[in-house]
Order: sequence, then C-alpha cells, then structure tokens
Amino acid sequence: MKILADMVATRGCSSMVAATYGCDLAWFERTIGIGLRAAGVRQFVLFVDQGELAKTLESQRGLIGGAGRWYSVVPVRMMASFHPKLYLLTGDERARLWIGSGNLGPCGLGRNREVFERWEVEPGDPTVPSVFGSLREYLVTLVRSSVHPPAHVLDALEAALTAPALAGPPRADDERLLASPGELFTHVPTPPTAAETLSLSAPSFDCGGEFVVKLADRLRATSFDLVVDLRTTNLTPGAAARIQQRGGRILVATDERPSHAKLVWAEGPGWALGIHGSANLSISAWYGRNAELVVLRTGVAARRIGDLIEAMPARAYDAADEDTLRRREEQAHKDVPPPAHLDPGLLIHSCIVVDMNTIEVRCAGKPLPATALGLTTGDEAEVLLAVEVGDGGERLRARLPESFSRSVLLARLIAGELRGPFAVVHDPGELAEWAHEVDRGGRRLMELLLTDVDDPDLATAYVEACARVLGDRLERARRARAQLPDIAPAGARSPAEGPRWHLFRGPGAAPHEESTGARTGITNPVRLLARVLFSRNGHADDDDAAGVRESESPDEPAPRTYELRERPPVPAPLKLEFRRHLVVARDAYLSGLREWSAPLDADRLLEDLQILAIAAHRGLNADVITPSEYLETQVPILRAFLGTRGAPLPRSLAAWPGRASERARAELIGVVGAMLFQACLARAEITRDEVDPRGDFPDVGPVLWFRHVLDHLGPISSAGLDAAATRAARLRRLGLWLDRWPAQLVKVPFRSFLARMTADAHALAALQDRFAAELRQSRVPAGDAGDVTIVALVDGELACGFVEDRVGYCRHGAFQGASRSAIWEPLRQSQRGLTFDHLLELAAEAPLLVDALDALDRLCG
Amino acid sequence: MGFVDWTAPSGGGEAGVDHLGMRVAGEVAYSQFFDFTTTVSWRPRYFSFWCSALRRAFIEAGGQVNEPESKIDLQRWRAHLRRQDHAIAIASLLADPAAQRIAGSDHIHAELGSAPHDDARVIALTGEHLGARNGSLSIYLGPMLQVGLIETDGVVHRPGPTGTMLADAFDAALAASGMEPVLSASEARIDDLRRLGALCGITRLSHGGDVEFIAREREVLRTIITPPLGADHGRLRVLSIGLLLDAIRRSQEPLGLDQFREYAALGGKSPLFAPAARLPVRFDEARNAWQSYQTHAFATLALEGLLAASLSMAFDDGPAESRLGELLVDSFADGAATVDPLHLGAGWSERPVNEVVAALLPRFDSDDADLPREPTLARVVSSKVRAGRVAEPAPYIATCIGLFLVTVARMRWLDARAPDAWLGSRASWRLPPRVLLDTLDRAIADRWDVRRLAAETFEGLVLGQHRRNALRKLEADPSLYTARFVIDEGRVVVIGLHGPGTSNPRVENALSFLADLGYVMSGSAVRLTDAGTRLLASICEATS
Repeated sequence: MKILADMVATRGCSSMVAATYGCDLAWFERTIGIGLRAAGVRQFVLFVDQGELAKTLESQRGLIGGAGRWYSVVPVRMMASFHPKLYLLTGDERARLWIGSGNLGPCGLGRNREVFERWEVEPGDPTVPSVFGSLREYLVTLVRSSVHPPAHVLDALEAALTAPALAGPPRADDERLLASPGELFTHVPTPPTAAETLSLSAPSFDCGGEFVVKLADRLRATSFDLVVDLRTTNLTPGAAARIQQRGGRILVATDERPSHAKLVWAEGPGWALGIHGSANLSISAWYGRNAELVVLRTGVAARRIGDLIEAMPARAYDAADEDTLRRREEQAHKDVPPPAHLDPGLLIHSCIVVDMNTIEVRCAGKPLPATALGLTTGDEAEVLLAVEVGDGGERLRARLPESFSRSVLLARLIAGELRGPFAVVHDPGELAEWAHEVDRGGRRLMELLLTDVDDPDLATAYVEACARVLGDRLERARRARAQLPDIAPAGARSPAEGPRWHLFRGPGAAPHEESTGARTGITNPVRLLARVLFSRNGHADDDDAAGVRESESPDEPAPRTYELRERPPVPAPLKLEFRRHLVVARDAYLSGLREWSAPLDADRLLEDLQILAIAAHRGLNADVITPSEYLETQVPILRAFLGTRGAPLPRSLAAWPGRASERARAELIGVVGAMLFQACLARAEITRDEVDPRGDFPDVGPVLWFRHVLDHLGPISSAGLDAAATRAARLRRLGLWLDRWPAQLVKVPFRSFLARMTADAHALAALQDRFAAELRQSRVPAGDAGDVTIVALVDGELACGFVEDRVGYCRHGAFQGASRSAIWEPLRQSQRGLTFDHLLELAAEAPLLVDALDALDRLCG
Repeated sequence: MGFVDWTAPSGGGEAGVDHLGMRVAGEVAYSQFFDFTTTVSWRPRYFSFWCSALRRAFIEAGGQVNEPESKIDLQRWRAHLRRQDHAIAIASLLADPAAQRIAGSDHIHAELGSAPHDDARVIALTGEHLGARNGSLSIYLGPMLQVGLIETDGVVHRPGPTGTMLADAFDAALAASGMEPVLSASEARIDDLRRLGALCGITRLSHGGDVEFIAREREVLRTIITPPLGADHGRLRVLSIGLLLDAIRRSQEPLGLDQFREYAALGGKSPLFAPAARLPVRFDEARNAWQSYQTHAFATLALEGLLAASLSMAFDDGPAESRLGELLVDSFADGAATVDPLHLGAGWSERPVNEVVAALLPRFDSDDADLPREPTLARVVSSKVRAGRVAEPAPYIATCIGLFLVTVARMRWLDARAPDAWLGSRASWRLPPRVLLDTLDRAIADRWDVRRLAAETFEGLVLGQHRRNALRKLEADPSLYTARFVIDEGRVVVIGLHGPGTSNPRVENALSFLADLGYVMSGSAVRLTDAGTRLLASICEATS
C-alpha cells in the first residue's frame, strides 16, 4: 500500500482530519498539504499529542509555513500519550479512511514498514462501512472529553464528518474499532479454547514485558512468537527474558526497512483474532493511560493479520541481540530527560487571533501570576507581550504589536523562569477564507481540463471542432507569412511522419508586431471553452465564469447542451487527445490575437486572459504541469496580450473612453499582478531561490510588464493598489491563484508585491524618461564581459542585458535578466544604449534619480 | 472489511549530493573560471564538429543561414543532428580505438562488435547511440554558448559568426577526407567512416596537429577559448587558464586536482610549487577569486564532514533529538583532547575564538611550511570517510572543526584584502562566505570559545542547514525528500549516510581541453608544451 501516494492522489474531497502521536509539520506542508490543497481540500485538522507537538514546534521553528493559517493543529493532552494514527479525507464525492501504525511524517508514511487499513465510500454506494460511524463517535467523544477545541476546529470537524460521501445508511458489518482513553484490554475477547497460534509484533513494550504475558495468558497460548525490530524497539533484556520464560520465541526482523507495526494474530479451534493499529504491547496502551485506536478482526478476516506477520522476514534472537538491547536500555536511561513538572497554567489549550490586534489564549489550568506571552514567527526573536486575564480566569489576552509580521506564529506562556511549550496561533479568519473559498469554477476546470475528463462529448468533440478550424486557419496564415511551400524540403520523409514546423528567430529577427498578416476574423476558442467548462447542465454560470458573456461573434458555434452526470470512464488516450486540442486551440487564439488589427473590447480581453491563466494555474496546482511548463505557458500568453505597446490589451485600454474606471483598473492590476507574482514564484521554484520578503525578484521583466500596464492606465494610487490587492480573494475563487507556495505567499503578501512592482515601474519610467536621448544616441561602449547594459528597444521599451563586442544583448519584455543563462527568449541586439556604470555616472549629475537607479541595480541583479 | 496491508516505501531514498546546499554556491563561481567546459565535456573538437553539424542540420531542415527568421522542420533537424553525431562518434573510434571521452563510446563499441575491421560492412546511422534528445550536443551546448559560438532561440541552434568561422575550419578537414556525404547519410560503410575519422575524428585535433588545416582549426579554437586579454569577453577564463598553466609549470608533483586546489587555496604559496617570479598584478583579480572559491570549498568540505560524522554517529543508536547536539559536542571535546589540527596547543577547544583567529591570521602571510594549512586538513577530512561511515568520529570532528576555523579565518583575511573576490552565489541559504563570516563575527562579539563555536556550527550550519535545504528541495519536488535524517517519535532516524565533498571540479576537464589544444602534454606527468609556455608568457605580458 502506497499510503502517501494514495492519500495525495485522492480527488473529490474537501476536508482532512488526522490524529497522530508524532508529526513532522514541515514535511506535511510540503507533501500531503501541498498535494491535497491542489486537489481541492480546503480544511485540515490535525490532532497531535501535546508533548510531541511541542517538540516539533520547538525543533521546526522557522520551517513551518501554514500552521494556523491553512490548517489547524490541535494539541491533545493525555495522562500518558495521545497515540492513534488515523487519516480521514471526506468530501462531496468520496471519503477515505486509513487507520494503522504510522505517524504523520516521512517515517510513518514513507520509510518505515507500517500496517494500515483503508476504507472508502462514495455517494453512490448503497451503504457506508460501519467504521466511519465508529470513527465519528470516537472523534466526537475525544473532542468533548479531552480537547475542547476552539469553534473553528469544531466547524471544520463537523464539515468533515457530515460530508455527503458519508450520508448513506451504515453497513451492518462486524468491523470493530477499539478506541481509548479507557481500558482496551477488556474488549479483547476471551476465546472459547486455548490459542494454538499466537504471533505478535510491536516496537514498544512495558519494561517488564508484562502486557505480552497478560495477553498470552488471556489467549491461553502455551507458546508464541514475538517479532521485534532492533532498530525501533524499546524491548529490554529483562522483558525479553520474561517473555521467553512465558513461552515466547523472540524473532528479529531483518527487512531493510524498520518495522513499526503493531500486530496481534491468534487462532484456536473455532476462533481467530487479529488486531492492528496504534497500540503497542504495553500496559499504557491497553490499560487506558494512552489514547489508542485499533482495529479488531475476528473469524476469517483475522487471518489477514496472520499473513502480514508471516510476511515479515525474521531470524532467531541471539546473544548479540541481547547485548544490543542492553546497550539500548542504557542509552535510553541517558536519553530520558529528568521529569519536569509543568504547571497546567503554562500549557496552552488553544491560541487564536481574535482580531487584527488581539490574541486570545486558553490555558489548560489557572494562569500563573505575572504570566507573559512569548510570541515568535520562528525566524525572528521571541517577543514578550503583557497579558490580561479574561473571562473565566483561564483565558488570557495579549495585544499584537503592529510591527509583527503576519506569518505563522508560535506562542508560549512564560512566568518568570518557567517557560511553557510552544503552541500554534490560529487565525480563524484566514482559515475560514481557505475553508469557504472553494473555487468551484477552477475545480471544475481542473477536473475537466487536466485530470478527470469524464465526458468524451464534452471534452473532445467540442474542442476538437473549434481547434481544427482554428488550426487550419493558423497554418494557412503561417504559410502565407513565411511564404514557404506546402511540401517539406527536399529529402525523403515517410508519409506518416509529418513535419513539426518551428519558426526559428535569430538575433536579428524583426519583432512580431512588424508582421503584417491580414486577418479578417477571429474566432475565440477560449470563450467557447469557458462557456462549456464553467457551465452546469448546459447553462452558463456567470458567477463562476468571471462574468463570461455569450459571444456575439458569428464565427462561434452555438453552445452544445450536455449533462454532467453519470458517464462512462474515459480511456487515457482520449484525455491526452483532449489536452492536445486545448493547446492547439490556445495557440491558435494567441496567434489570431497577435495578428488582429481592429480594437477589441478590453473587458473581453481581460476575461480571456483570466481564462487562459486559470487553465495553467489549475494544471500547476494539480501537478499536471511543472513550474517550467507553467512559465512556458504564461509567457506567450502575457506576450500576446501585453507584449508591446501595439499588443491588443494596451491598445484596447488606450481606446477606452477617458480613463478607465477605478474598478476596472484594480481588476487589471490585480489579474496581471497575480499572474506576474506567481510567475515569479514559479521561477523562484525552478531556480530554487528563496523569495525576499520585500518582494524583490531577480528579474526586471515583471516590472517592465507592470510599467507597461501603468503606462496605459496612468498612475495608480495606494488606494488603487489596495483595491487590486483585495482582488486576491476573488482571483482565488476564480482559480487564478496558485496554492503551491504557501510559505512564500505568507512571506511576501500580494499587496507588498504590488507595491514594490509599482514603485519599481515608476522608477524605471523616470529613468527612461530622463535618459531617453542618451539611450537612443549613445553607442554601447566596449565594456567588460558581463557588464550590464541598458538599451531602449524599438518601441521605446527599456531592456537590460549584457555587453559583448560593443553590442548590447537584451531580452525583450518579461523574464529578461542580465545574464545569458535564461533561454525563454532569443536575445535582441542593439548597438545603442548605456552600460549600467555609465548610467551611474550620469545619475551623479541628477541626484533625484538615485532611487530609480537603486531600483534598477537591484533588478539587474 | 477494509483493505489492510504493509505500507510500501515512498518519497526518499539516496537522491541528492548537495545536502547543505553549499556546493551550488561554489559551482556558480567555478562556471565563470572554466566556462569553456563542464564536468562532463572533455574534447574541444566537439565545438568544431557541432558548429559544422548544426549548420548542415539547419539547412537540411529548411533553414536559411543568413536570414534572421527561418522555418525549421524540427524532427528533421533533430534527426540530422543525431545521425551526424552517431557518424562522428563511430568514425572517431575507428580511427582511434583507444580514444577516451567520446560520447556514446560504450554503445558504439558494442555496435562495432568483434568486426571493426570489416571494411565493407554497412552501419546504420540511427542516432541511437546516446539517450539525450540532441545527442552529444546536449553535453557541449552550454560551453559553446558560453564562448559565443551559437545562436539560439531556445529550441533550435545554429552557429553564429564565430561559430561559422569554426565550422569552416572543420569543413576543410571534412572536404579533405572526401567523406562529407557520410554526415548526411543514413548509413555508411566502415571504411568510409574510418577515412572520415582519420581527419575529422574528435581526438585528431591533438594527433593531427601536423596537418595544415587541422592546425588551422586548432588555431581558431585557441583564439576562441583563449582570446587576447584585450577582448571584451573571456578575461576571467584566460586568467584562470594562466593560473592553471603557472601551476603546471611550478608544480613539483604531477599536477592533478589536489595540487591545483592547493595552488588555488594558498595563492601558489606552498612548498609543492617551485618559487617563481610573481605573476603580474592583473592576475590578482582571478587569483583572489580562485582563493575565495577554494576557501569556501574547503569550508563546504568541513561542514559536510561534520554532517557525515553526525549521521555516522547517529546511525546505529538513533539518539534522542535533544541529546544529539550534546553527543556531538562531547565528541568534539574528546577529539580535541587528542588531535590539534591547527597546532594551536593543548586545550585549544577551550580557547576563545577571537584568540584563535588572531593566532591564525599571521599564518596566511607566513611562508612557514610546517604550519598546517587547509589542503592538508582537507585531505584528512576526505580520506577518513568510507561509504559514509566515520570510523573514529571524535578526532574526525576535531579535524573538521579545525578546517572550518582556518577557512573562516582565511575568509576574514581575504575579505580585508579583496572584499569582492567571491563570485559564487550570494544567496544566504547557500551559506556563502558572508554568512560564514557573520557566524565568526558573532562568535567573536559574544566571546564564544571554540567548543561553543562547534556547538553552534553543528546546530545552525550543519544539522539545521541540512534540514532547511532538504525542505527547500522537497517544496520544489514533493515526491523527493532528500533529508539524511528525520526525527521520529523524538529520536534521530538516519535515512542515509553522506560522503563529504565540494562543488564538482573541472580541472581535469580543463586539462583535457588544454591538451587537445596543444598547450599541455598529458600522461603520467602533465607539463607545458612550447605553445603552453608561449601562451602563459603572452598572458603575463598582456597583464603586465
């Protein structure tokens, strides 16, 4: 069972609930978290043993990016340990449950040999396995008796446990979950006859092997096998001797992967018993000190547990193994820190952001006098805040300092020299934003476009038709432009092997806008696609489709009526075919856009831009395309819409009556800003650069794009930027937002990025204005290799690159950089321009431009 | 019932080597010194061949070489590239069966089988001798772009003006062989391929130096790779080559990677190198950059050595996370009691860091051959790890800390003399010299002793750095977790061991290029040829 891959590949779920003893949150965020968020899961609740959680938070300060922001972490305090291991995914279309022995981390779900049991149910199933009902009762009991979580966690839990996939009637089966706190051992049946077979395996035991003996007694086994793994076990030599004395034969697991499973298998005349789950073979586990969760199987079904134990490669236990256990026991004594009494008044039950300025802490006990709240983001030094005691005496309030960054926060209570363990500060507002902004349109698009194309009619016939028409037109236009013959160049080629044409554009190639392809009409496949993909039951849904309207173009065929209901599964080749047609359609559209001469409606263009971007975003979110492919997709889209002053969007904007309305300006800045922001993050992922919290990215390209937009919109005010930044929620709802970089998004808020881009764009504009004459007239000097050069390109746009042989080599527009490593674009040559050093000299005469030069310096790397 | 089973492994394994993320920092610098080669490119004649082959393929696929825009049949272009690559590889091996570093040679030796002398045999030029989409061009494209031979739009490439000059030079040999049609054919006879290899074989640049047109092609290549210092580009490359030639000239041992590292790290001031007239001042820029790079590389080695020791110690017993730091520092203290890698005297681990640095700084100006230097310690750090296991962790850790101390002290010394010498990545998460110096500054400001520095180094620069680096990589690829250890239920679980290293060196590759260009004689002892001596003299003259 590939549990990690199974979990991340689950589709149709919106909630995840997990319970675990240990957890590796940094790993969780970057594997399961990122995968499930891309798949549409919006609510995560992790119940974790309080002691283990405290260790994780202490150890992973600065490495955690989403705790309390997009997932909730609830500490659970038990007399000994909160030890279950369960993972539940639920939603409209499916519920999956795994119960077993592995903790939430790279060992428990990857490296170790663990045993898990998986159940699954879908809405169409006649009944729901009873284990889901048992689990619901367990979680409800747990929450009521031991956790007392805040309201947002209860809401998330309720959403998970009442998901439509679990709405069916319970199945009458004999699956039994045994759950504690409470004594579990009383639920282990006393068999009618003595066990003829008893096999056990677990990593942990009580120090005298007492529970193993009790179990053997209960099952009346005269002899039995116990498989231990020396790499994971805490078995002591004394316990081993006691077990052997009772008739146990100890075997040592020899598999390459360490075993961490907990298994019991027994069989006698007329009965069989199999147990697996979280409970070790210890008194703590079975007599109620821990909270555990195990699955008990009887009869024929129990045999499977026996098979699993028998599949463990093992050898006989020998004297060398005993030495190993002895050494381990000595080591363990050293490892155990002296018991420290921790006052419940220093333990945090929950810690939430009440409003923009206030944090509320709920303690496990009465707060100690003179308690302060220590607050840290992990990276930054801890800040001590004064607290006020609130209602009931167990609630404390502290005011957040204004300067504190709004990233993941950890808090602990401090009273004099005493320091409590860290807890996660939850922001219910942000969690709710995640929980409720399920981008229906985006998800539908993702499902149809990229992963689960479940309707051949919908997917292929419709798109294929428009793609074929457009593809033919495109090819004819290309042929006309290149004036190339229809046939391939001389030389044999098999008839089946058609040419794959590529337009090579060398350094001296003319810019696209100088091409003069004559086109008299443009069909808009993007709009057709959007209408199909965003609509339900054949009716366009304006809310989901970003206000997509019916096209008035006579070239557009009438929309088809279709049903999004039961459909046969689609073979994989058809899915690929569908995607291929989409790409053809998109390319055809972009090509048409480049060659379209009449002004187009700016609103419509903006919608098209959004739709095209959404497709790529969903692809990346679903991991169907890589960040490199994403960038390769986004760059031509941006270029077709905004690449030059003569591109359709700037031209259409310029044609708007008067100045664009504030709303429309914010819309455009928001959309383009979001695309550029995420393109920068994608590039940072590719280059593995860390993002700078100030919003600096090592490319001047995005700033040039921004400047281009601002050129046509006029200056944008701070309020305008705020308005644009607030579009983020709507963009996310539309699917124009990537969930791929939670940590970076926290580090560089979208508003900061917009502000930095705008400031830099203005700085560049000022620079260009001031040095326009010099840029056009100066001959590029013979600089040193690698010198940064600044040139003005044919349309007046500023570009930067490097000098070689008195020629400036630059990239045009987005993603250019002062190096020759990136190959997104062919290099353009210019003999007119300035080296950066020369610009600095000129700036000395114009001190007011220093800021602009600073900006350029930073952008040019 | 549900489906119950053992879990299968996922998301980890033995992937990755740069477990602290520092090697790439140095790689960025290295790629500027020897930009004409990579760690996998060896033969400069591939430059000539590919310029010629790209031009032919461009035309074959419908392109017009003098036009800025051309419509290219990609499949045809690619197939033609691969066929030519296949042909030249076979031809090279037929002409010189013992030839090394011919891309695809394993496949071709198998293809030729036991009958390489069957002249009438016809071989299909399928282009399947290499897996890469563009054959050996995938290996050589980067360096060819660096030296300005290629025009590209990111998909299709063709020779630029300089590349065209080189293509012409190669084509002269091709024309003389009379075998030009072979490079456009889909199959060829063995004897034709052998004739092609005799003049155009990849190794023939050095073997056929007596042939006039090959000598001319070599001269063109020399001009491209070592342009006159007054040229606008390639200055750091030429100066680096000058340093390499100087090292060969002065080395008392056959010059290899270790010797050049010593030369670079110590600025040529080592008993290993015969005294000679100081290179002109304009070499200082390159010398400082090399020294900065090499010092950082030794710091990388030291920190990776500490990672190796940590993993090795935790491998068997998996100590509690809370105890790991203490175990390592205790081990350092034990080792420091028996090993004094820097000759600082007994109790050196208890001495304040500022005192130790003050004692080390004068050594960098000293010629005392008896003082231990970085290369000596680096050899110990590299040699005491076998399959990731450190047999005696305590003295090993002490040696690593010693190496780390001397490298950061050297960085301080260099920083005072050449603050801009570092050419590698400055990203703080790659631990460039600036970040390591910050640690040293903190140690001095807070009056740490060496033991405290060791503790902080383990926590922040080794174990913490490794975890951050692995998580950074995991974020980029959620299916690949490269962490060498994880914490499970409070214990350190070692996933895999680690062998310490540095960024991949290109010295051997550079020597191979210089040998083919006729500047050095390779073999049991590397030494300068007359041309190499003249080149060094001309570089010195140009920089004087």
